[in-house]
Amino acid sequence: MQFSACGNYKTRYEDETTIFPNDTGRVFVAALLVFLATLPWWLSPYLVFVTTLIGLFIVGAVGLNILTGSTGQISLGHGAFMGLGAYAAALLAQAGLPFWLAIPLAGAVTAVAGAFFGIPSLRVKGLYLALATLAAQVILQFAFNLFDSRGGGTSYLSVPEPTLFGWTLDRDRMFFYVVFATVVLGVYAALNLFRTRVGRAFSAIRDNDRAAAAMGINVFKYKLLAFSIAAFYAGVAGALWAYASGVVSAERFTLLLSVEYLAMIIVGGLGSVLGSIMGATVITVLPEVLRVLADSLSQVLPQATHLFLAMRFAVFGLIIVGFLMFESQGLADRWRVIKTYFNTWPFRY
Amino acid sequence: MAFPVLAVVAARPAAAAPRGGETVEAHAGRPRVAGAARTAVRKPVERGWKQMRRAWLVVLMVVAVLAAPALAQETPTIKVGAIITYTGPTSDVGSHYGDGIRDYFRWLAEEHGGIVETAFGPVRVELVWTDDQYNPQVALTALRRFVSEENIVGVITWGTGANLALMDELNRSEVPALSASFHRGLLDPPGQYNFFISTNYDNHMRVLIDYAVNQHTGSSPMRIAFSVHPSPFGRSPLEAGRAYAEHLGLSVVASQELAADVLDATGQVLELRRSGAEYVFFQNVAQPVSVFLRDARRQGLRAQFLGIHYAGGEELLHLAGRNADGFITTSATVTWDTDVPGMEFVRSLNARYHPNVAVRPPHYAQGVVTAMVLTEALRRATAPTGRAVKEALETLKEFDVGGVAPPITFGPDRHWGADTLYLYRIDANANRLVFIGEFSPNYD
Amino acid sequence: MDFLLQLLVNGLVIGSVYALAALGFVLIYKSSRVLNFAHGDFLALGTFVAFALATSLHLPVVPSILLTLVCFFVLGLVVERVVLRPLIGKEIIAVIMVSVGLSSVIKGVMYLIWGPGYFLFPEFMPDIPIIIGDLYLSPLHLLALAVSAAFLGLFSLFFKHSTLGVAMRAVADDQQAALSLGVSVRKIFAIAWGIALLSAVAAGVIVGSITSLSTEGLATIGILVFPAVIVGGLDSIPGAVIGGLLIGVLENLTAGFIDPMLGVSLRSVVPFIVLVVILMLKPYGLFGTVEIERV
Repeated sequence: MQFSACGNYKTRYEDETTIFPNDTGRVFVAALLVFLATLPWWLSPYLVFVTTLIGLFIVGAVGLNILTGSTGQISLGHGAFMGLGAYAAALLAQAGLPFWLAIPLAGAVTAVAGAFFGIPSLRVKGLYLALATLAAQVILQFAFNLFDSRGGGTSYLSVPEPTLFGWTLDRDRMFFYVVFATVVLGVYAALNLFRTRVGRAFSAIRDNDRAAAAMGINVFKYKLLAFSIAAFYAGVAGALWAYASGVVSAERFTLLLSVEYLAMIIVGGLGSVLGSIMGATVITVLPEVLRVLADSLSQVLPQATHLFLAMRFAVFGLIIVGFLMFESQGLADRWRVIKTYFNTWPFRY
Repeated sequence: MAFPVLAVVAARPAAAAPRGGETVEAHAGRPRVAGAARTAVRKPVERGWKQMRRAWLVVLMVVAVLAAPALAQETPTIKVGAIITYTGPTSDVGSHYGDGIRDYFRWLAEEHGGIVETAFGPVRVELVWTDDQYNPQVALTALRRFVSEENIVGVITWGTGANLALMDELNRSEVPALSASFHRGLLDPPGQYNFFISTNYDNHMRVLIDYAVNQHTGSSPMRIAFSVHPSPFGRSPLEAGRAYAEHLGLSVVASQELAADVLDATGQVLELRRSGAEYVFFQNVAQPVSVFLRDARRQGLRAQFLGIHYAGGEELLHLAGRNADGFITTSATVTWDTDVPGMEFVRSLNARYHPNVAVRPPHYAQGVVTAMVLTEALRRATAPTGRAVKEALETLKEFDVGGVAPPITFGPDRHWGADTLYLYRIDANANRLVFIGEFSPNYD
Repeated sequence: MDFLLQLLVNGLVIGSVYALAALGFVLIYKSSRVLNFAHGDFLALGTFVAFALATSLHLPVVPSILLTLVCFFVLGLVVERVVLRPLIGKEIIAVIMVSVGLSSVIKGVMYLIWGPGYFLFPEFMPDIPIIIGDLYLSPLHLLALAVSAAFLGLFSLFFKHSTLGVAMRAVADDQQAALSLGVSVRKIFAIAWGIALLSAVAAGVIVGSITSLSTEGLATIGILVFPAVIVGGLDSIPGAVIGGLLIGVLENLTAGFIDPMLGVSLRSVVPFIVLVVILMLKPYGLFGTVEIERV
């Protein structure tokens, strides 16, 4: 096995496009996966739930990064697509489908919706497209609220427990593995996407779509495809979330959620799958950290309740602005710099 | 751990020249630049030992300080949870409810050391609470956390949406909940773990309709309209209200929705004016109702306005002022200036912890009463489990809450606390609510 | 007929507020190509500051509003310098996300100081409706309409006849050409932000005095600005005004005619359906300049 290279010894083109340049990364990732798989056995149920949440947000963030980071189409509607996936999965589950059918189907439904809301990308770009996705967010959210209101005022859909061959998967512990498997699959697919034609077309469109069109890439088709793929990921994330939480209701899928997704990819790094993972982890864990902080400080200063509850908004905004001003390439880039430091030590480059 | 951090700093393209006095690790990591001055090298091993000893001393002290209270305690601690809305929709009234609960438990901790004499011995009661932002998923996450990490034996909750979402989890983990929401669906099926201290919203609506019918001297059939919050909380009494109205032969001319953050209700007001509604029934929180009342006066809508519990109260008077004159409201608790021993206690709590706040809407008292009921259930519980607390709640009969609310009665099949409620009329000129009476709905 | 007229009048009143807010938004976009997602939050913050001046410091209403306008003009200059200047040249998403982050920070600050409650502007004129036939006109609404119209008129005069206004239009049209004529583009950016925040605060104060103040309710106006500017055209100031008026009227007509039929409140979502339709049919709005890409 090769763990480090002190030069470029590649002899074939395929070697250039491998995901890991040498075996270090492979071994590390394998060890990490094994470690993560043991989590439900020693972490408290609540923390396992948080990890499950991180996992499904990773799926959603990876999808958004494909659309926004790699194809350059800004989407403010990702939260609504996640909601669409959640509702679709809940309805399919209530109709009796097992989870391993309901989740991909929910993703497919959301992919179609994503393609529909991507149609304006034929005529507009950039900021206008962002506003179209904002409209998608508002309209879908309204539809969710409307859906919630049918049937005499119960505002939520309850999702039956996921079962595998008649054996119920405990939402807290066992469903973790479903999410885990989905994350691994999703990340693997995304990483490989950029080694294919489709991925290269996406990058070309982001860099300069007029040049891409001039080279013969069907820009509109690939833009729609990007929207669909991102929506598929979001739909799957939403479906997983529906199963993990057990309850689907419209209040979760607001503009704030779409903004959180964008924050994830900004903090993590645009266009980088590793960035999506890091960003999703940070942004999901952040409210928990703030909550613990706010709760513990509130015990000491009960009069200052509003102070700490407002902290949530302010800190979130400051993180976004801070990262954009000082770390605009995201955590993935910072990680790359750290790795390079170790790789090239004691030299500087 | 310092190594990677320093490596990050060192990895910046424009790194500063090595400075003297750095710790051992950084010194080892920095590339040696030819010609740079050598920094003074102290004996690294000795420094390291001293630092380690110091560090251990600090750790021991911290552990001792933290452990002391735990070691000093003999009475076991049980925890109860509160999941309330401090930010987001309905937080303008939810925050008062939350304050009421927290103030009560704070008083308990300060006056009695938090010690409650229960049927299984004295325990120290501790409240853990969180803000659910009126979001059912946040509430559910919080409940699961409270159950798995804090082992709560009871929980006090606020919003209808949150409560509906929590029902399965409450039944699964056998933790009883006292909710501020009086939604009928929360008690269905009987025997589950939800309780509330008043009667359900449907009955509030029936009482209002009865009152309106009794007051009505005019055309027949009587023309009524509903204006509700677009959520399960708002839509809850709609079906029963319509059915009851039809049963009484009234004409429902309109049924509208009024969002909580609406700034302008002109469209809704105009529709009601056009349809000739004579009585408008609100199921909403006070803010949108105040907006509606103001626009009603501006657009010349003359009708009798009536509201359920959360729509009226001192909050509506404060927000709508003159526009609220004549508004009829139901309430599960009495108003702030009522002279009963329970309200004196509530007022003293507020004065003690919030001296700057002069008047509170009924939800503050509601919070205090709910906390009182839960504490009483803890007293009657035969074991420190949620199930025992639930059974204890079901033993409450005519539990006196000092006149703040009708005496609370629960039972194995009866999880609503009272069969009667209070009616008030807002008198804007006197700037207070006038007590009309204690009513009970007409069960058919 | 009277019903329709009433709805139209109310729609124009609320529409003029949208128009004011949209004006500031378009100004920022035209000069610095930034979509300011924090516009609604600045609007809300300004209204709250004016409210605080009027109640806590007990200043009379009009001076406190004027003082707030001046403060926020200065705040606009500061924001442009501190937050936007470092981002010149970065890609669009960075700029959008900065305004989103700012929006979050401002929300946090507002919650910190004022909490989640609702507040009422102190009444400064009696609100007895003027009745013309079956039409009820609120004097406060009429005052709001007059003030909005005055602001809009002032702005249009400013842009047409004052040197600074013409310079701003020049920068918005073609930065390079303006630079070559000696216009200080940096100064113009800053002033654009200042005026934008000023108009946002004016809109917020007007709306706040008609209705009431709440952090969420006022910030919602910021979201409704988007359909208004898309309808009018992202880079057209008269378009913003007309777009705002149209959206206001559309909202009220929906509330009056369509909502009762369906029993649900569509008024808040119809502007966005219109936005999507316009983006598909006439993406640059009624008056926007069509972006022609040359290869």
